[in-house]
Amino acid sequence: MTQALPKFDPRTKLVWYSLMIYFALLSQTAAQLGITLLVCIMSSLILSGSFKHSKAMVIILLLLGLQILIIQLLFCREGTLVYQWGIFKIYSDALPLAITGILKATLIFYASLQFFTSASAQDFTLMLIKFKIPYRFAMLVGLGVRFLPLMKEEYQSIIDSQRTRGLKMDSVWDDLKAIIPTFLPFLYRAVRRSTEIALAMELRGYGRTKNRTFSSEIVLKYYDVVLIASMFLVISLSIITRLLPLI
Amino acid sequence: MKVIAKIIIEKLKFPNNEKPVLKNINFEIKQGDFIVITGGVASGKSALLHVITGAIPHYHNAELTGTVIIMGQDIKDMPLNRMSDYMGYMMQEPDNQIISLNVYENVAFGLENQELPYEQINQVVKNTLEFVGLRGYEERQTSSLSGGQAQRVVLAGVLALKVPILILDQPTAELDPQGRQEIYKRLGELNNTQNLTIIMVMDRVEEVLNYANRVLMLKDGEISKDYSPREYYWAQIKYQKELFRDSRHYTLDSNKPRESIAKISNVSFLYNNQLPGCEDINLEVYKGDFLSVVGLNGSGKSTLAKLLIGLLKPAMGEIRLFDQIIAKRNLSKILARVGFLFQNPDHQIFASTVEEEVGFSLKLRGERNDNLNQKVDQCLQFVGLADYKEMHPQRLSRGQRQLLALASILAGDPEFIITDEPTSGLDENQGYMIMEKLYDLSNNGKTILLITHDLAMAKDYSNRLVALYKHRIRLDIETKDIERHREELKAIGLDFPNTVTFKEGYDDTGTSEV
Repeated sequence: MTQALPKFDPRTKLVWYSLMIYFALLSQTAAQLGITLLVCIMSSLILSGSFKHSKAMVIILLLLGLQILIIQLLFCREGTLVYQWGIFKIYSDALPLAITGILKATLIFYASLQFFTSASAQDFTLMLIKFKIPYRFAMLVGLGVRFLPLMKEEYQSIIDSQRTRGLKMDSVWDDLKAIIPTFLPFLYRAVRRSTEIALAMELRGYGRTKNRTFSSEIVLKYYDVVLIASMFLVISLSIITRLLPLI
Repeated sequence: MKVIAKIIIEKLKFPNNEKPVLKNINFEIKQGDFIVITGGVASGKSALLHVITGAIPHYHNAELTGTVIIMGQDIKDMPLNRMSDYMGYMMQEPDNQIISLNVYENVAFGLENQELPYEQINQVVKNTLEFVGLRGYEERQTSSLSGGQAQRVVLAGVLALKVPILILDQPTAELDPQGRQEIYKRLGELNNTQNLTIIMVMDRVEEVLNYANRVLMLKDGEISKDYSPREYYWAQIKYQKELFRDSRHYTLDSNKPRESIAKISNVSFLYNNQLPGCEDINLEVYKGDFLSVVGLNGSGKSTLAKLLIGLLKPAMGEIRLFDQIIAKRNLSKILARVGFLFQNPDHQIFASTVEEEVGFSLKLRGERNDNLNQKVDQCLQFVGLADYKEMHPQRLSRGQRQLLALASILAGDPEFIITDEPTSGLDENQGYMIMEKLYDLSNNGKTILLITHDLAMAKDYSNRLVALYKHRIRLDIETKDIERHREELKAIGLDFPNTVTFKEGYDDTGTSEV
């Protein structure tokens, strides 16, 4: 099912992401936001066939949602007073505003996750090259994706190593005290690693000319063009309908 | 043979260092040479490679007096990123040279920089991957490669450049014997069939002697000897006879009940990605044991060690250390009696002086200052770093940092010492010296668990040998019985191929048979 679907160009994904962010920021009602979020979720389901990558997001959004709800209940002063207990007052608009806020945050978060997990680092690099970003900068995305997990793994090894030497890391206070013996080796390693990576790259001819070949390339297909044009049309219509009453 | 490089280094000095790193170097490299460079810790091996590749003076800040001519060109006049027309350089840690997310992209990296057309890149990448035995790995994520595969991907990336000179800094340091043999065989093939010039820094020279035609020995930044492989072999035999004991005898009475230090019962462990780390492990370590755990890369040796000291929690089974089940509440108490030497010393070094680094664990235990200083001095003396106690640890060579890590462990006076590949990054003699130190500690009543790929070293120093294969224990024998189990060891990829083929190559008159 997934394989049968066309592989969208990263530029198409970027326009889709921008469209979602645009609606998240401009929609004012829970209904509008709910529909946009549903469309966004449905697109993920159709393209990837599962919600697997969204699992971690649910916990974060629940915590964020709870925070928004508490803030609105405590500080919202719009609408009519519905409950009072000492200085603690709840107004009628607190709950709708909290729901709108939660939906906006969810939509922005979900669309970001959708965009950053659907395009590969190579696709990002090629997209930046198409936007005329020099390849020395564009390729940093791929390098980051390659080395961040390695560095995370290395930090864990450093922690393990220091724990076996007797460094306690049982409480937050212990963790704070352990920053120097754990972070300094990490820093030294990071410097050593980056020096070696840069040297390895230069010695394989990196940066010798202004341009370089890439063994894969991205090309806008007809369906990408149609989708991008449609999304721009939607954004244009939305802007026009918002601006017309002002003229 | 045609001279393709001429190296004349009068002096190489790094800023803030009074002593030159290299001096009075003068040698030529001929096309088709297979040169092995060796020497003790901080002898200047890697610095010499950096000079030949042009990394010094173009990349590292150093003061170089001399001339380095590669294929008729002075490296001082050549930009570093043009060196890929003449040579390929493979450094020690493969992880730091794998730049791309998949194998194909990584091998193609240098070719893309040369702006070759896509079809040509495709052809070269496929051929090179086939040559290094990784055909079909094109789309494989580089993060999922084993150490040996990663090493071969880096080699493929360098070979794809089709350069006349190949420079390798300990290219097999992280590989098991099987992986090392594969790499040497392929390099020898390239040297023979394509007249590729190879310059290689090696800590275990004997493994590659059958392929090399010259061995340069560095000492204090100078070439102290320029050997033929045969001369080197006999010099080493003589040196080791003088330096080390001829044989080691363990006088363990098998009838006497022995105190158990660690007991692992039915232990299994699964990593987060559901790959097995260890399966159904049963092992008992006794006081005074010098136990070697051997196995190929990925067989579960390091996982076993981490389970043993509570860094990993078994999915099944029970682990007892000093007759206590390992749990969070008693872990720090148990670890105070255990010393763990990790493979990479840089994962623990943080202090600003060598003596501060060694005293760290003692400070954590609240040791008094006078006692602490005395212990630090003793440990530094033991590993031969007493002269460096005021130095910043990051200024030490990789081998010296490994010795420093060992001194830091010994400072805590542990009863049970676990060492994960303690000789990695050390030259041959330094490696044997570390093993001798461990042997002395074992004779003084310490229990040693050595994790190694090196079966010859395990055979020479330990009294007991445990072989892991595909995460399970396949053999648990006394080392003196090793010859009887040779076939079983061979079946799981463990043997002494290097020592044997090398010795077969040269008879005792020093005449080469090959």
